[in-house]
This record gives sequence, C-alpha cells and structure tokens, in this order.
Amino acid sequence: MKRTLQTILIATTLLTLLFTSCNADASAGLFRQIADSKAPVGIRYKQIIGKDGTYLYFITNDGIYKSTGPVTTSVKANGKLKPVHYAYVDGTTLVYVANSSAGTEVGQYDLTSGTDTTQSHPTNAGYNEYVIKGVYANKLFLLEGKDTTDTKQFSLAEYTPNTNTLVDKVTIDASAGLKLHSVLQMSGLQQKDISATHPMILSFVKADKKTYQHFYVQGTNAYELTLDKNRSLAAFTISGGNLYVITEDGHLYESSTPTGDETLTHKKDLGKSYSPNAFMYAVKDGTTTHLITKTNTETEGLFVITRDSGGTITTTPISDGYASQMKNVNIVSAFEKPSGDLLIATEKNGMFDISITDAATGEGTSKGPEDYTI
Amino acid sequence: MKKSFPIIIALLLLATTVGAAAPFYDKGSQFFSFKVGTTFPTFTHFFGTKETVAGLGEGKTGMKMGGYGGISYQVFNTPYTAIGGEIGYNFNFAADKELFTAVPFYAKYTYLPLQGSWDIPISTGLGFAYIKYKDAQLMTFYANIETGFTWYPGEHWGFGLTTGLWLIPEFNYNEALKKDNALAGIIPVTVSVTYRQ
Repeated sequence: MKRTLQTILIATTLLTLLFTSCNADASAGLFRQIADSKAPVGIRYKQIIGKDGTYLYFITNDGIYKSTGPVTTSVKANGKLKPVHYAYVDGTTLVYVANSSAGTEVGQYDLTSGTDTTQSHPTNAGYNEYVIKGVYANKLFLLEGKDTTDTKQFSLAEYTPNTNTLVDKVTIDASAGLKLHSVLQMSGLQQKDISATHPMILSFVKADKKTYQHFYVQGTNAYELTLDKNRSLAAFTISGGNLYVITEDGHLYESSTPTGDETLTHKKDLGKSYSPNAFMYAVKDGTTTHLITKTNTETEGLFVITRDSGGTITTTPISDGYASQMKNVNIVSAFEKPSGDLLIATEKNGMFDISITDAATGEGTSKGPEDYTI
Repeated sequence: MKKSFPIIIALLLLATTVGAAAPFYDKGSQFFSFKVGTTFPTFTHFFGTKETVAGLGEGKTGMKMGGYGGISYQVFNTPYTAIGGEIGYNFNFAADKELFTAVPFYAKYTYLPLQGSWDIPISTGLGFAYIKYKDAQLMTFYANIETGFTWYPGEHWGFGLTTGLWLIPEFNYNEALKKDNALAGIIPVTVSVTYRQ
C-alpha cells in the first residue's frame, strides 16, 4: 500500500512538472530557437561611431576599428586592463574614453598622423565633482555629479580636446534622487550632432525606485515627456513632424515633435516587448509612416508598425527581404547611408547591409554578415 | 547500403533464433551499466509549419555533435527480457555556441535475443527529459529505441557499443509558442561498461 502511494506521488509530481513547466518566458520555442541560431562571427560589435570620407569607424569588444567595407583594420586595440568604453569621431580626431586602475583617461587619436595622446579626467567648471556615465557618437558626454552648490545633477557636455575641458550643454536637476535608466538615440542616426531633428531622450528612475521620468533633449533644452502610465522607454524616432516612442512593454506613443514639455498620446498596445535602445527606424511613404523595430522576439526578423494618415496603426512582422537576416540577432547599432539604406551592427553576428524598398512588405535586400559597403 | 540492411535484419533474426535456444540469464538476473558517447542531432520537425530540418549545424537542426553519459539498472523479468531505468545527461552546442542540455530519465524495457558471451540487447525507453537552451527550459516526454552489442570476456564484466534514436517532443502550452511545437530526433552512439550477475 505504501509503495503504491509512493508510486502515485512520484507519477503525480512528474506529470505536474510536465504540464506546468514551460518556456513561457522565452520568445520562441526551444527547438525553434536552436534551429534559427546563427554562428557568431569573429567581431563583436558595440557601436558604430562615425564615418569620414574613407572609413567607417566602430567599437568592438577588442577596441576601435575602421573599415572601407571590404577591408577592416584596427585603429586602437584595447590595452591590457585599459579597455576603451566610449569613442566618437570628431573631424580627423578620434576621441575615446578608457578606464584603468589610474582612473578615467580621455584620449585623442589623430586619424591622419596616427598620433595618440591621453589626458586625465577632464575639468568641468559646472561641477565640484562628476563621473562620466557615457559618451555618445554625437560627441556628447553624459555626466553625473554635484554642481558648484553641491546639488546633484546630470548633464550632457561637449568636450574640447585642446584644453581637456567639458562644457555643459544641458543640465538636469537630480536633487530629487533621480538615477539614470537609459539614454536613447534614433537608430541609424546616432552619429549625427544633437539637434531638433536628431534629439536624445534621457530616462531616469525616481527616488521611489518605481516610477520613471523622461527628458527629451534637442540641444540646449530638456523637455519632460509624460505618458499616461508609468512605463520605461525602449526607443524613439521622429518622422513627418511627429515623435514616436515605444516602451519596453510594447506600447506605442506619439506626439508632435516637442518644443516644450509634452504629453504623449497612447496609440496602441503592440503585444510585444522591447529592450532599452531597441532598433527603431522610420520610413515615410507618402502620408504613411512605417516604423521598423526589432522586438525581443528573437525568431522574428523585424516588426513594422504602420501609421496611416488618419492615425490608424497596423503591425506586420517581417522576416523576408531586407529583414531576412534579422532573426536571432541582437542589433547594437545602426548607421544610415542614403535614407532607406542601413548598416546594421549586431552583437555577435556581424554587420549587415540592408536596403529597404518597401518597408511594409519586406521588399528590399540584406547582405552580410560582413559583406557591406560604406 | 540498401543490400546490407536486409542482411543485418536476417542476422538479427538468426541471432534471435540462436539465442532463443539457449538462454544465459535467469529471471532475477540483473545488470548495471555506465555509458558514455556522442550524440548526433538528426532532425527537428515543427508541427506548426510542417517543416522538417535535418542535419548538423546552422540552417539545419542548429545543433552540433554533442556528448552523453548515463547509468542504467535492469533486472530480468523473464530469461529474455529485462526492465529497469536509465538517467543521463546530454549536451550539444548550438550554432551560436550556446549550450543545449537534456537530462532524460526513463523506464527501459530490453529484449536480448542473443545472450551469453555476446549480448545483443534491443531496448525501448519511455519517460521524461528536462531540456534547456538559453532562457527556454521545460520538462517534456522522452522516448527511445536502441540496439547494439555487449561482449563479456569473463562472467561479469562486459563492454558494449550502442546506437539508436531518441525522440524528444516539445509541447508549448503558451498560445504564442504553440506554432513552435516540435519533435527532435537525436542519434546516440555510446560505449558502455556493464556488470551483470
């Protein structure tokens, strides 16, 4: 009798495990994910940082490289215990930030002569003390620290190599206990100088550690963006005079391009989820706008959100044509060649060269990995 | 290849006849085996799209050749058949270098048409497997059929070679993942050390 009970108990436990365990948190079936898996290429991209007349520059986990397309060469390899975290191209100078045991170093690499000079932590007259939280391809440093009155603040600052100084372009008061959550730029246009057409969004977590505060920065002003619900942002883009924002939990918002504090209008629950800094690229087709995005659904190529002139939203997953190689890749950066033509850098799967003919249907081409022209 | 298959079948049938004449084991005999070897992901069939991918690597099953280790215990319920169980650990790297693992544990039924110095066991197994790949993991069913041979130079210890086919289904209860319901087939090739008494 006892043995029978044990058998029933074991069988029940196994069957319970069988029917309750599932990969519900996964974005696709287990064997589907494996079948769609791609072999990593040698290069692990982190960010495309700019382009001059001859080369495309990018950061990888090994250092900074430049490429003509067919030929890729190292510009600055990561030093032992001194990896390059951030870099941008400013004319003929490559500015980079590396951390070592001695502290933060800001280096300037002359792309013409190859001369490499490093300087210690830059000075900033607006701060008593600060740390560098990020450096972006649009040549801006994000700083966090205490201003001259010992008030906590964040700022986006411009760097002057000759004097090794940073000058704040826009500041955000963080005295209420804001903590940085994410810094968003428009996919494919991260390398453009900040402006009304190439803004940034800085998102913070408030002191309650539950709610977010978002700032739209288009140069020297930071406008607060308000959503109907407390949501973290994943990506944004501007097209046709409108700002489009997607949240990490897959909601689409829109407004006219902000010229002051703005309340965004909720447009649609997309039924998807996104990571911070997700890929989002707008293609205008007459009066219709297509927002091409990369969701967290690994086995889906790209996900196109279409907004017609009446404001109606429809969605289409695209896994063919220009999106044919976007399954199971993690897009880390993009670079717009002529509009509609993009270089897509992925974390492990190399660089792809895509050309979008018809955003809504997937018509277009995709070359790569590591088969691209600049 | 086509000609050799009927010959193998004929030999197995002959062995069955020979074995049937002279049973080596008694009811209550038992054996304990350790096995290690490699596994070849052979196919994956997706029920939703009715698509079957076959072979190793990217664009096929997505999996590479892997490894397996297991232990089994069986006891004879008749002179020619034994029942027991096996538990093991299997791994395969996917094309993206992430690890797929499977831990099958199952009941096993074995028929030994030829037995003595050479055993030819033909087994079938049915049970469960815990499978995992990146953020996906689930408990699922497991079935297999295996055959091979074991050579006993002495009375107790034997050395064997086994192959067969494993079937691992994936049933997703999440509506969004149902289209990815699948059946994976894996061919193991293992060597074993067996103790019998």
